[in-house]
Amino acid sequence: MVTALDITASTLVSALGHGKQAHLAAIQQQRSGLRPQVTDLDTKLSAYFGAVSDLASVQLPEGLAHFDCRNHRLAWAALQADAFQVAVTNAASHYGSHRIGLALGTSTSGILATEEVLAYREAHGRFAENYDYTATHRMNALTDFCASALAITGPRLTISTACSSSAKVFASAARWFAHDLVDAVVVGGVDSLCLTTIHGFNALGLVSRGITRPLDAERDGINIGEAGGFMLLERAKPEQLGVCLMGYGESSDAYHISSPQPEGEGAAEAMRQALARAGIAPSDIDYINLHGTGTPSNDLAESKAIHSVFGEHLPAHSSTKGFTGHTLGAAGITEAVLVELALLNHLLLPNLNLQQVDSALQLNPVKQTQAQALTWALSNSFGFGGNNASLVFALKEKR
Amino acid sequence: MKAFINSVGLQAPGLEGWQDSAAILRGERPYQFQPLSPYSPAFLPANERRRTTDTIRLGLRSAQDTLGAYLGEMPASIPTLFACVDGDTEISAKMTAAILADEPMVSPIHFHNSVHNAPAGYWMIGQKNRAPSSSISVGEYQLANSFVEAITQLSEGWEALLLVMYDLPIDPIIETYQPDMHAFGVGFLLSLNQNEHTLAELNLQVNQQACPSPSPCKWFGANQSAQVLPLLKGLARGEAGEQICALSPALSLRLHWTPIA
Repeated sequence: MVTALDITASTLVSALGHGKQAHLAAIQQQRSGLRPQVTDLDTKLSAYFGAVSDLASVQLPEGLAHFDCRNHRLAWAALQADAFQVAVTNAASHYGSHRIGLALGTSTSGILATEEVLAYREAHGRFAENYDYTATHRMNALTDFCASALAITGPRLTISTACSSSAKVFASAARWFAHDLVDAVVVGGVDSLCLTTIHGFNALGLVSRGITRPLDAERDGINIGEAGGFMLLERAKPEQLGVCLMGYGESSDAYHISSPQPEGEGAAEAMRQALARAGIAPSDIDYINLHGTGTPSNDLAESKAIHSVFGEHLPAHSSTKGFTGHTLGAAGITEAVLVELALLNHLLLPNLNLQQVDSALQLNPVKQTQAQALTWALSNSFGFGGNNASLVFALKEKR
Repeated sequence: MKAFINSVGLQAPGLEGWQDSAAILRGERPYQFQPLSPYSPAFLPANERRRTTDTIRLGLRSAQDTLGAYLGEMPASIPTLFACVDGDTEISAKMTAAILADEPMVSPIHFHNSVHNAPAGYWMIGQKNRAPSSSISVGEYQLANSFVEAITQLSEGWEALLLVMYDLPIDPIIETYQPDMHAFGVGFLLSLNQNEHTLAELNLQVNQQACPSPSPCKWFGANQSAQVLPLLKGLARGEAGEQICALSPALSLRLHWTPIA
């Protein structure tokens, strides 16, 4: 069992908007953020995307200008939303900035900056002068940027395990707490739209022709989204109400680099570990936020994993990828914040864009946003390389 | 934080194989640059073996050299941690060039090999290992944070953990940034308990004291993974010693090792 960790601040920017209030409103109105175009990026592909609309106008502060790229604008926007940066500053002045850890996930960091500079070179015959590989594209750039922006100096790392990246950051944070290396940890993840990802997934035949329809009989792939989200974790205090991280599980498929193990055995193992660390039984879970990408093979493998862990009596479950698209390295934190909102507001999150649930899945996803008392929730994130992570969250309320 | 080092792997030009490199690390033979010999991960199915890149192969050969004599007697499932600052820039370069076309055609194989955890994924597939695996990047703070992540994860109660750190020169397409370095891959098999293979006890201590940026290493230049050479030299000599490395701009990590005869 792990030490329970309070979520003392959180923030999210995605296609649904800036900050948690915008996300709650979208959930209540069952309004998707997916659109058949991106206003500020030529994607060279006709598809639906979960784009954050106003990144072009985001300006980094002067001292951080060399970090400027789409990924860090998205990170900055998320740090400003929900007064998250203020909460971290307060924690740093309370504990000391060296006691605040930073664990962030991303799959592609700021690779768009390199895409753009290569296009610039094609047009102008030389690299743009302001191109800075180490501050934008390099895999640790996101963590360097956020550590500078937040002025925190504890242990740090970027985890890049594809679509499980920003779920695994919770495990690293819990380990730092267990060894008393930190008094607070900023966990999170940021992934932004870029053409390598869009056309890479398209080459694998995993991009949907229309709007993504997770768990539907006619599902045909993902919509790529972008998001930035963060949570501030601290050791659980009895008097602190709200949502706690209670368990995490990590596993590998050892099967294939880009296809899930068909029986979902690795996924099931991650869920079992997370439940075991939380010290609860499968029947205690009130809601599962599925990885639910909307590809035929992922949803099928995950359904088998769910059945093997939860048996016949499944908790309420849904994929929220129909709201945000698949935000890849940011999917873990995106869905952690959505789960936090679900628990705090006692709302089951609906699985959008369903016409007919695939009978092969034997699932009965939540179809409408609905009020329900919730205490325990599980969130799944699975990535290429057969990399699985599951998180268990619980609501603490006044009794 | 404490762990035991039970096995070491080393794959770098002029230091190919831990066993063969020990005399050089002890200073008994001079270091001489010599390109790494060709390598193919025989433990992968032929179709997957063919798809591997220089980055993937450096990660895999470092892992394989670490477990070398152990393979077979290890528990089937041990967690692995792969650390690499830049990831597969050769593939990044190919993909970022491909998307310049009006109708981009990215190779699906390049794409799935481009994920930072591709080497770890192939390793787990090759070993049929279903334990957790992670892939990290921490720039100039990589050595210290890799050991912290490895040993804190080991303390969850695993029998052993494989830590692999590997870095290689970045693709010339990113021509504005070319750190002067050679490839370097290293691996450690760590455990919480001492066993008959144990080479040394390793203690980690975090200090609230900034650590100056290390100067580039004489043999491998700006390679972050090669910053571990003082520890490797100590292990090769069988001498106790310590190394201080930066955990963050304000913290340093003291690695202290004691050989176990």
